[in-house]
Amino acid sequence: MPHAFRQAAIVALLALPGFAAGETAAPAGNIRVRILDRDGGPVPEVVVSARPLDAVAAPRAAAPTERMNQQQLAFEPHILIVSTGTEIAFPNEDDVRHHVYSFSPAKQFNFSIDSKATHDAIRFDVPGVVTLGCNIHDEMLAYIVVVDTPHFAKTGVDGSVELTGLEAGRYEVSIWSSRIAQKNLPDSVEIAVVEGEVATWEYGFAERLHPPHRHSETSLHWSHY
Amino acid sequence: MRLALASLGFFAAGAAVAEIGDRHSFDLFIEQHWADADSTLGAWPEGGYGKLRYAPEGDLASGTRIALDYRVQIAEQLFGRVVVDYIDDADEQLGATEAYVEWRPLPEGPARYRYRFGAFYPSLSLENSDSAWESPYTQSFSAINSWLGEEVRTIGAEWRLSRPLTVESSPHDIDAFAGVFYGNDPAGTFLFWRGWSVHDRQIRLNEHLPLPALVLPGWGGGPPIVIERTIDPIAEIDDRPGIYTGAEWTYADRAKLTLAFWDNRADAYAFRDGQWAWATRFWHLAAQVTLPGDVGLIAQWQRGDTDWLTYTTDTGATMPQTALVTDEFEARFLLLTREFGDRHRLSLRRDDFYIWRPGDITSDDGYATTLSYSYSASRRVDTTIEWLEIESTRDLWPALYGQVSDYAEESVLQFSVKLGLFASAD
Repeated sequence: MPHAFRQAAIVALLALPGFAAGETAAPAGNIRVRILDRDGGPVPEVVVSARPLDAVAAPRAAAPTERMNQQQLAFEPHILIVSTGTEIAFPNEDDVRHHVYSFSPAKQFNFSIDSKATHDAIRFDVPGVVTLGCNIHDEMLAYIVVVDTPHFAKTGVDGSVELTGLEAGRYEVSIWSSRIAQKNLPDSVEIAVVEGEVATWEYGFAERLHPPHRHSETSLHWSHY
Repeated sequence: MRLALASLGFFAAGAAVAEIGDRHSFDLFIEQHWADADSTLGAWPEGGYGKLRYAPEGDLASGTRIALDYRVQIAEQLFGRVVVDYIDDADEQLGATEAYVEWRPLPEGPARYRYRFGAFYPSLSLENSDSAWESPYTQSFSAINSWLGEEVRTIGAEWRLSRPLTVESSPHDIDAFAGVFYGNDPAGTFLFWRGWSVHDRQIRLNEHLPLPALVLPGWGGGPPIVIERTIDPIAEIDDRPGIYTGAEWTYADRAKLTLAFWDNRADAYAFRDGQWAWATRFWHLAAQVTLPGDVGLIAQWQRGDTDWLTYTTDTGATMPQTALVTDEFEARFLLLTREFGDRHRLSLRRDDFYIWRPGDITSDDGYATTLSYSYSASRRVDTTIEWLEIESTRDLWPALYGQVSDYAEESVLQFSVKLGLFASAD
C-alpha cells in the first residue's frame, strides 16, 4: 500500500467523529476514482482529494510530520500530498549538500541542508501546488500538493484510488497531475457519499499526457556538464 | 590572463578544502589505454600526419591518464570546479583542462540564471557528459568533439538562462546561453594543417601541441628541409574577444536539441609569439533522444569556415602576394548506444567530415566508424574495448608533406581500463 495512501486512510479514520473517543464509528462510505489517459490506459500518481461540502467541518486530527527526503540526488517522493497545516521535514540522506527552494505562491522558501542532516519541519498552511527545486542540482524536481481536506490519496499503477471512511454527505472531488498543463485539469466534481456504499468517478484525459518525470534511468546522460 | 584565471580557480577551490566534507565532490580516476594501431602516418600528438592518438608501427602503444574532477561549494550560491590531469605521453604531463567558478543565484521565479567565469568548455558537446569531459559511450570522441577538445576552450564568461517549464507542469525546458572569451584565436589551425581527428586527447590550458612537420624540397637537390611546429590553440593573439551563443530545448529528459553559433572574431592578419590567428566561426547543431527500446541517440553537426593567409612565414612576415583564403569545414556524427543491464554498454558511431577550399581542393574528406563495448566490473572499474576505423583523402598531403599519399586508412583496436580511485557520492 503506498505510503501516502496509508497515511490518508489513517488520517481519514482518525478524522471520523467519535473515533478517537472510542465510540462506535459513524456511518461511512467510500469514493473510488479511476483516472485514464486518452487511450484508456491507467494513469498512476494522480492526486485525488475530496473536500466535504456539508456543514461538518472535518475535525482535523493533528497531522503527523511528513518527510520530503533527498536521496541519490532526487526528491523522494516525487509528489507528496498533505492537508493544510501539515509540517514537512526535509532530511538529506546524500553525501552532498542540497539547497531546496520554492517560489510557488502557495509557499515560498529556501534553505541549505548539510549532508545527512534534516531541515526543521516547516508548516504548509495554504492549499496549492508547491514546486521544489535544488539550486545545486538543477535536475531535482518534486511537488508538494497541499489540500484543504484530510481525504486524499494518489492513484496506484491501476489508475485507481479509493478514499475510504468518508462521512455521508456531499464532497467536492478534485484531481491534479504533474503530467498535464494546469489549464487542462478538469474542474472538480461533486460526489455524494452514501453510508455503506462506494461512489465512483472515472475520468479520462482528452489531452495527451506528458511523459512522467524520471531521473537518469536511460542509456543517455541528461544533466548539463 | 589565462594563467591568472586558472590560478584564481585553483586558489578559490584550494582555499575551501579545509572546510566540511559535503561542500566538496571529487572524481579521481586512472585510465590506462592499450592500443594496437594500423597506420603509417604517425600519431598526431607526436607530430604525425594521422588522425589517431596512438599509432606506433608494429608495437602496442599504451597511455595513462589520471584525472581529478573536483567541485566545491565556495559560498551558498558560488561554486568552483577544477579538472586537472596527468597524461604520461604529454610534454607537460600535468595540466588543467578546466578551472572556473560558477555563480548560481537562487531563482526567484521560473527563470534560472547561471554564470560561469574562468576556463571551461562551451556547452556544445552532448557526447562528453562524464567527469573530466570524457564520454560515457565510447573511448574516442567524435571528430567534432575531438576537435573541440583540441582547439576550443572558453577563457571568459558564460551566461545561461534556463526556463524549466517543468515547474509549470510542462515537459518542455528552454535554455539560452551566450559566452564571451579571450584566447582561442588559432582555433582552426589543426583543421587546416592536419584535418579532422578521432581520439580522446584533450588539450590543457597553456599546452603546446605539434603540427605535422612541413617537408620542403632541399636546395639544389639536397636533403628535404623539415620544419617542425607547435601551436597553442587557446592563445590570445589579436586582443579581440570571441563570442558564442545558442539555445537549447529539452523535452522531459527524452529529447534535446541545441543550436549554437561560435566565432572567435579573430583578425586573420594578426601574429604573436610565433602563431597566426585564424578567423574561425561555425554553426553547431546537436540532438539527443531516447529511442524506443531504450536506445540512446546522439547526433551533432557542425559547419563553419576559417580564414587563413597564403604566403606568410613562421616569423610573422607576410609576403607581397599574401591573400586571405577561406577554408570551409563540416562534420557530423550519429551515435547509437544502449545499456544492457547495469554493467554492459554497446555503442556505435559513424563520423563524416570534410574540409574544402576554393578551387575545388579537398583538404580533408573522410569518415570514421567506431564500435565500442564497455563492461563495468564494479562501480569503480570500467573496461572498454573499441574498434575505430578511419578513411580519408587529402589532396594537399603530397604537396605539404612530401612522401605522404593523398589517401589513408587508419584503424586502431583499443582496450582501456578506468579505475575510480575515489569518487564522492555525487
